Amino acid sequence: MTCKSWRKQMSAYLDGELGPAEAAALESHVETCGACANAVAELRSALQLLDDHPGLEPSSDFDARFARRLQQEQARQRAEQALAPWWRWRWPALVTVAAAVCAVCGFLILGRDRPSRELAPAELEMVAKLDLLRDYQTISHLDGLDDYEVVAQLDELLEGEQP
Amino acid sequence: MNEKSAAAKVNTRPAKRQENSEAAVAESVRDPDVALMLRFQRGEQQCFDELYHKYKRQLLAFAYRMTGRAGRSEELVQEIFIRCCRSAPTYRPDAKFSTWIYHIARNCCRNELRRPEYRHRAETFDDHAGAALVSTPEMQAANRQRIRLAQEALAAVPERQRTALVLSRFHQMSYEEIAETMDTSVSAVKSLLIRAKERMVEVLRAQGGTHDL
Repeated sequence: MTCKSWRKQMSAYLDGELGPAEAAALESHVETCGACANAVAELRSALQLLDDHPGLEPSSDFDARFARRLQQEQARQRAEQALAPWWRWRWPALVTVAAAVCAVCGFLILGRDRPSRELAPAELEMVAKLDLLRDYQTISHLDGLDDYEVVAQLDELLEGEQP
Repeated sequence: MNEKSAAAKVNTRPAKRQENSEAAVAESVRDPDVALMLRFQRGEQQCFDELYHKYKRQLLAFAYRMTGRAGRSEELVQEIFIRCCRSAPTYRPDAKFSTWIYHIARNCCRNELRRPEYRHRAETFDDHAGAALVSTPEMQAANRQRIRLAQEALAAVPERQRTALVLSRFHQMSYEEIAETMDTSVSAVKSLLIRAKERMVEVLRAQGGTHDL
């Protein structure tokens, strides 16, 4: 076994994960190999240093904060459980109804609020003179105007009749 | 693991722990914490409280050693217990309770370490070093120096290796239990631990030698 192989065993050895025979073999190798003895010493000292790594004490309000959070969580779970059977059986129908209601509402809202067409300038002018047009309609239907064109073209007509 | 037992582990003659996953399942049946969790599952709230008081300090130390942030570690521990509570309806005793809850803890810490603030900042520990109760100023200074070195060495170890190392050194887990907690094989755990320790030694050498400690 090479030193490289022994060194792979050192970690498990220091963690107490080697069997007695393997541990004894490693120990006897380390007794005769200075480099491996040094490697074990370095690892051991690093692990002993690591054991000085401090933990952390909970802050004074840690339990109170957790109690509040747990209470909220358990209330949420209870609400979920109470809703679950009802929701499980009816959700497809509810979703369908909700979708239909949304579609109808959307159609109505969009239909109602459709923007009106803008009037052209000529049409606007016509609207402004609506009274005048209404009067014009009245005049245009007067019986006396039936002969208007005959009167307007009377000169031409008379010239045509002269020999 | 407390400091005394950790030191004893280094110095005493190693004895191999022989466990396999079937044994772990069998052991879970006898685990009193599993029994508490099952009673909580049936609605006995006081059993959850008992588990909370038993594990909160261990989990807080685990989260702190993994993240190096004291305030966030408290939040993480609360999240771990909330997840534990949420999982109660579907809980099955496939392993020891500690293995199960550390699995949750490991996932929470891993998610935490993926946050941008951990990616862009050098990994260090909050100065929360529980200054050990030592008498003289010189001893206090030496103690602080050791703690600082330990923090730097641990912070330099990558997440997976650090998880294995912390579970092994501070939480008395066997390689089997670590493998189960981390969803990996025993040989992968051995490899992770070898690399973690080598990394620590490298950092300590760079700090001025491991033999002087």
